[in-house]
Amino acid sequence: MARRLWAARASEIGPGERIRLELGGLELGIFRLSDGFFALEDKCPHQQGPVCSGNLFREITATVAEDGRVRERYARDEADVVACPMHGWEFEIRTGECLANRRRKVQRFPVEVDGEDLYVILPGG
Amino acid sequence: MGYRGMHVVDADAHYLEEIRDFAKYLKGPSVERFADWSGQYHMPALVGEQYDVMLHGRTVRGAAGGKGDQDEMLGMSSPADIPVVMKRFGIDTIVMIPTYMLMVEFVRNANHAMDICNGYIDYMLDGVCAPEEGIYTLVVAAGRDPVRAAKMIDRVAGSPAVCGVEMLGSVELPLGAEAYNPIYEAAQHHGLPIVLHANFLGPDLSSFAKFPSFVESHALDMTWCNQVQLVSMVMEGVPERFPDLKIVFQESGITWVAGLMYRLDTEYMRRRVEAPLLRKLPSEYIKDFYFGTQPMEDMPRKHLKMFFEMLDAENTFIYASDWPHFDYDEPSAVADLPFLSDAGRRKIMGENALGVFRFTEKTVNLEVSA
Ligand code: FES
Repeated sequence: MARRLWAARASEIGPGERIRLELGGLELGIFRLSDGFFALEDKCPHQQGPVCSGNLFREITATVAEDGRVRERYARDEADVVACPMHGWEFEIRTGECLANRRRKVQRFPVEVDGEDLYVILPGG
Repeated sequence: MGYRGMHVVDADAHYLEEIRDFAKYLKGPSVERFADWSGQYHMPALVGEQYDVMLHGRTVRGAAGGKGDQDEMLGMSSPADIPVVMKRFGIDTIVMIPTYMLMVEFVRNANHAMDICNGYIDYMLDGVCAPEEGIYTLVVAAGRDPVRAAKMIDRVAGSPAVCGVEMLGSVELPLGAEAYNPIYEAAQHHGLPIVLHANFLGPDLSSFAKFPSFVESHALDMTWCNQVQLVSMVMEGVPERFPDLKIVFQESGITWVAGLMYRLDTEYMRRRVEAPLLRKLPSEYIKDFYFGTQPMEDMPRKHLKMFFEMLDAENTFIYASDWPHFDYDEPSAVADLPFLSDAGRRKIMGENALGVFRFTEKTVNLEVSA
């Protein structure tokens, strides 16, 4: 049975900010991006670092331009990637996927917004 | 302390020697050179201008979520930091490896290089190391003046805080050369291992491949320089010339060794005439060496297990964290590998190192952690 646990007031987390908390026996980070709130487990799949404490970045990507040269650019304008502070693995906050290898993921949990209240849906305990 | 009930030895954690403090231990004209140096460092700092060691803010040390500074990424910068790190990782015995001293082979004036080596070890022994707390260091021997380096080893080998001799992959003449005999003799005489710490001496710094990014330089340089020195030491017969000398390779991960082992065997079978000192296959000498595990390659477990088997890991691997560098390894990265036997796990995490390094206080620490 999934558990729907009250996590925070929405106003506690400003745009582009995150909080870290303990909920239902797990360490979590809840991030506020332009399209909503996203919860990740604060445990890196690499060597269990506190990934949710990391700095946020825009995803840097690159394409080959028509002239054959490589152009680096931001994938999006928003800083929606969190880098684990321990070794720098970068994770997309919305999916929890590692940018360098999408099979490696931080555990992600759904967040429900009910008025001012944020609830996180955790697996049964 | 320890991890999962094991005595943990960290064979490679970095100390950031404070240059101005360290300068107080220099003697002769080197003092002036340090005091009058126009920049912050007495040697070229790491490798060129191509990168930010902190991954442009992606890796952070210090307070969680805070912006650390560059120094925090390079090494522990005060003696008080060391026990904190040991406690965090559950380390009982730690070998402090320098930071700027890793560049000492780039100091081309042999006298100056040896002045720096002598000053550095005096600085470490006077207030940074504490063998009774499990904190040791290596005496760094510059290859430019092996005779003077051997004298320095003789001078400080009596200190209980010295657990080995460090040499650098960036020596100009590969380490199999007889020119280094005085250093090997001194190390063997005092029961100190030779520790080869990889550094940026690869295609990036020394040859045709000027890479535009750290990810390229680091991937190749750190293994390449240990490969060069391993080939030289094995094929020129260092283990035959110094049969009691223990040799440790650090900071190149582990996968580079296996391929080279069999490549050397294949070469040797055909060209034995050029390596007549050898009494067995190169791969058999290589299995008498020791290898720091960091940075453990991130790869499918079943393949990693094969590398462990090929290299007789339970008898040859030594856990190393490399803290606080961006590519450090937690003890769990090695100790929790599911394919290790309990005995093998204990050996890799501590017992192998206890047999290789000269830890004067090891029995005390073992009792504490038991
Ligand atoms: S623990 Fe997160 S990147 Fe290594």
